Amino acid sequence: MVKTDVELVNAVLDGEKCMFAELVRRYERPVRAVALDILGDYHLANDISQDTFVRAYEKLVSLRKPQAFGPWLMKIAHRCALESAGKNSRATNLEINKAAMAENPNGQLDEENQWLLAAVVKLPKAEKQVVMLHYFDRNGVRDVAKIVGRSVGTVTKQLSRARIRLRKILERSEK
Amino acid sequence: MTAKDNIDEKLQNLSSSIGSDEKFVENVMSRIEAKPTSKLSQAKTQNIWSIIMKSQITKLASAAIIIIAVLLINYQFSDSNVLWAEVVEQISNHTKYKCRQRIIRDEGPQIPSRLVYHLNLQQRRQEHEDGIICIIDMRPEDAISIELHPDEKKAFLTKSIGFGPRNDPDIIDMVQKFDEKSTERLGTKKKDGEILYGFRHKPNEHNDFTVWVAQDTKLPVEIELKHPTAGQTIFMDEFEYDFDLGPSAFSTEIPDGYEVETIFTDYREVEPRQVTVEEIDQELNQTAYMLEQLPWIKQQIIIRTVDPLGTRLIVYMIGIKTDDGNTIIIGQGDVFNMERMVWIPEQQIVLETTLGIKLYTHPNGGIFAQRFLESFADAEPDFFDKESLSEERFTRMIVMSNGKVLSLSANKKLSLEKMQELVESIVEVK
Repeated sequence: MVKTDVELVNAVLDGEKCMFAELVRRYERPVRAVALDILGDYHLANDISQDTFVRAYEKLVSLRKPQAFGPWLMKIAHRCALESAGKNSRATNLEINKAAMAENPNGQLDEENQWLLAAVVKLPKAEKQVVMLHYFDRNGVRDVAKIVGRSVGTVTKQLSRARIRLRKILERSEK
Repeated sequence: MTAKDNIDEKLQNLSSSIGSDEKFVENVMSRIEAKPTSKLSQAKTQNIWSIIMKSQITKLASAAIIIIAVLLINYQFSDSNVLWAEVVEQISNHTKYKCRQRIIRDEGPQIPSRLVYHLNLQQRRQEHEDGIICIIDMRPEDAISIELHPDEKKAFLTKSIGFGPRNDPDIIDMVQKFDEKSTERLGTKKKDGEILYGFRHKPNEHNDFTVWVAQDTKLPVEIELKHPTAGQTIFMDEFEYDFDLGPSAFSTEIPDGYEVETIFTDYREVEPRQVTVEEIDQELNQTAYMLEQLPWIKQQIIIRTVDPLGTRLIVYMIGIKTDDGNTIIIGQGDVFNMERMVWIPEQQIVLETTLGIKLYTHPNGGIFAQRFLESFADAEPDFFDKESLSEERFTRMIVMSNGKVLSLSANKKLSLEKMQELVESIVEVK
């Protein structure tokens, strides 16, 4: 039985620390996607994703609306990645990227995926959350609706609108 | 294959590329396991509170209690009132004071809090939470500020040529200029057993002041200055008037043993003139940029002038005439830096190039573009005529991959492709 974000957040706040693992599992890929879009490097994005969840756990107390956990988490991921990008000078980043590439040639996304990821990250908040939960975390539409506390119809519409937007952006990029 | 399937497939491919790490959850949870749980117990109380407050009846009852409490407080203290004129008089008599200052930003990195000592209206010392000490002296014609990093034994000396002598821009100095009529009374509140009187002044959409003063001294105890358009709030408290700190603490002499970096900022009146990229490179404290020629650029000239936004700093503008009749201005200067551009992360990103250059909208892009275009027209009337100012004008802020900021203002619409081509042709002056 899929638990909603609200149920999981409240359980963690009630002391069931292990429930946070479910939130980590659920949002691992979406968070990594946000970090990857900014940092452009898989390994760095992975580290920043871990930092994001640890920071989110520490700040969970300040989350006033548990139903907004997803967008709130993405905002933290965005901030963590920007901070990391700011800390590392361009030269340092290049060194990291080079090292990552040498270690793992697939350490970075190919051009088309970079475009697509950038487009996904720029989707409106609600659409971005459902796209990430549906495609990146591979939840069915019903489960996404349950997780975010919206109706199946709303989620279907949001997915459809997001696809139209993404298609337009990709068409523009291919021109 | 339908378009929907195509996007589905691409998103699934992307998901696989993003990948997942088998040990990710385990790693995160082991880091979390090491954290104390005390903070989360507070949260439960907060949640119960939010559940209670969801009830309409509870909300109304709470509101009623608050109104009664406010009425009681007002009744209790109605005999002893503080007038704003009395506060202004007291502030004018106490120009030597210290306070703690915190700047909270809505987005981006936070600034460490600081203790600020004002010796008078022209000399200030700031002791930052992270150990950095700043001393500012606005008395000489070339105002001086030093920034000491005691841990690294490093000092930055900034000479602002032609900036002084003048009063240090000081919040409490701004406060005493509030007009009594436009200053709203907020009633009273208690802090550490002391009754405080509140005043609010909102001179424009950029500044919203709240000042709490003590009943006995009639001097500020707390000041909050919200900058909604800049996305930050300044809090000042822990005020101490006539503090005990000698004039030597305000000396701008660099202590022995420090490595010194000197920065010159020129605030003297300048006549706008055409310059070369080499001159920009020599004069700027940060990386200088130039524009590579593009087939659709008919003419480009560079001018050096005073910032049309009123900072009194020098800016360099690359004016571009395109083959379709548009005029574009690329602005750069020490005035553009991420420290000042606190609002950038909040704005909608318009474009990110494969070179990592990002373009953002500007909250007042139309006005920004107008000032830059008009300033260019003043300097080079043959290049741009003010009469040609278009309603389509706009501004984008360019953040280079190394974090340096430039501005792009265009008189008419510019396609995304051209904008991308243009920013990708911006290169460092070597």
